[in-house]
Amino acid sequence: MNRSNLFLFFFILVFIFSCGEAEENNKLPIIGNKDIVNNDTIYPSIPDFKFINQLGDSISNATFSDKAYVVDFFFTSCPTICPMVSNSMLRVQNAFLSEDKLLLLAHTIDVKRDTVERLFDYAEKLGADHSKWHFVTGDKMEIYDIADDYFSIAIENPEAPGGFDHSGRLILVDANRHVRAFCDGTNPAEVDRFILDIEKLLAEMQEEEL
Amino acid sequence: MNKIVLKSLAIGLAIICFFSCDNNQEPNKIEFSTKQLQTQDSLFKEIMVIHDEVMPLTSTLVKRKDILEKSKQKDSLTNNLILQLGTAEEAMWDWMYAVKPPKQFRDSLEHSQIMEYLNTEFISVSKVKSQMLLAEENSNQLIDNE
Repeated sequence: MNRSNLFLFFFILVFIFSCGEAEENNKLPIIGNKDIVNNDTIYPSIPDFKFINQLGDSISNATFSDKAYVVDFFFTSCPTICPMVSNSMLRVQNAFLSEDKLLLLAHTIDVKRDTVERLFDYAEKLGADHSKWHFVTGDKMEIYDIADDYFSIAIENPEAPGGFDHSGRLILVDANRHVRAFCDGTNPAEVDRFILDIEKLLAEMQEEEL
Repeated sequence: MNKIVLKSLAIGLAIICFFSCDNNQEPNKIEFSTKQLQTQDSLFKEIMVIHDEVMPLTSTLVKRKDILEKSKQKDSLTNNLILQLGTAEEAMWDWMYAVKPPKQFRDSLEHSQIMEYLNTEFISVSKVKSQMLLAEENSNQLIDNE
């Protein structure tokens, strides 16, 4: 092998490995502090849950098996940020309306006033697809606890002032219940980027199916 | 004769037109100057700033109440605090559920009446804020001991 061939061979090797790395980098990261147990990397995941949606149907983690989903926390009488965040959820719904691998899950944090009927009316007024976007209520502390689960993973500093109840965050969860992306639902530019993140995750899921 | 018929028709048409035009007018439409609208919106914004300052405290109060309710040793101080935390949180929910933006009243109320409503809401939300901050402060020590 002469010098020029050697150089060409080296160049091809570098090219192949850099392509591989680019493909790997294109995947969304799994968010949260990982643990190493017996040489296995364990990422934080969302625990089991069970709530009631706007149609009065039971909604649990099983509803989202093999699917990615976008989460937010709201309440129907919210006078400031919730309408903006719900509109961002609507943008996500409409961007993936025919994509059956993506669902939306909105939890009310005012379980006393946001009855099933009130959630249904809210969903109707927004233009929600009832089979795709679940507005759920349930046991108050279960909702607050699961909010902590989502947000302790998705927020850089869980001790930062301002709870989930006023964060306006949208959180993307994969089929393995890992948080993969999040954004500020009151910021349209961030929501644009978030929609691209969802596309990446759906492409990853499609690849895994093949 | 023809002139009389034509005159009667013209008068009839004018009367019909007058009443039909009158029916199209919105009943009791209240007019506001730009300055009045700005004053109303500005006060509502101030109200919402107070709300936004303390709204994130709601989850703190809910969680603290839950910790104290699960506490094994509940004395009268703890019970009072549980009540205080619950009342403060509910006060915020009740306030949010009832408050309305000024635009919802612009078909039915005069400027002075809208301002009176907004001033009342300013006082209400300020009271809710104080109630929430006091409940948080009072619970700090007990929570530290849990």
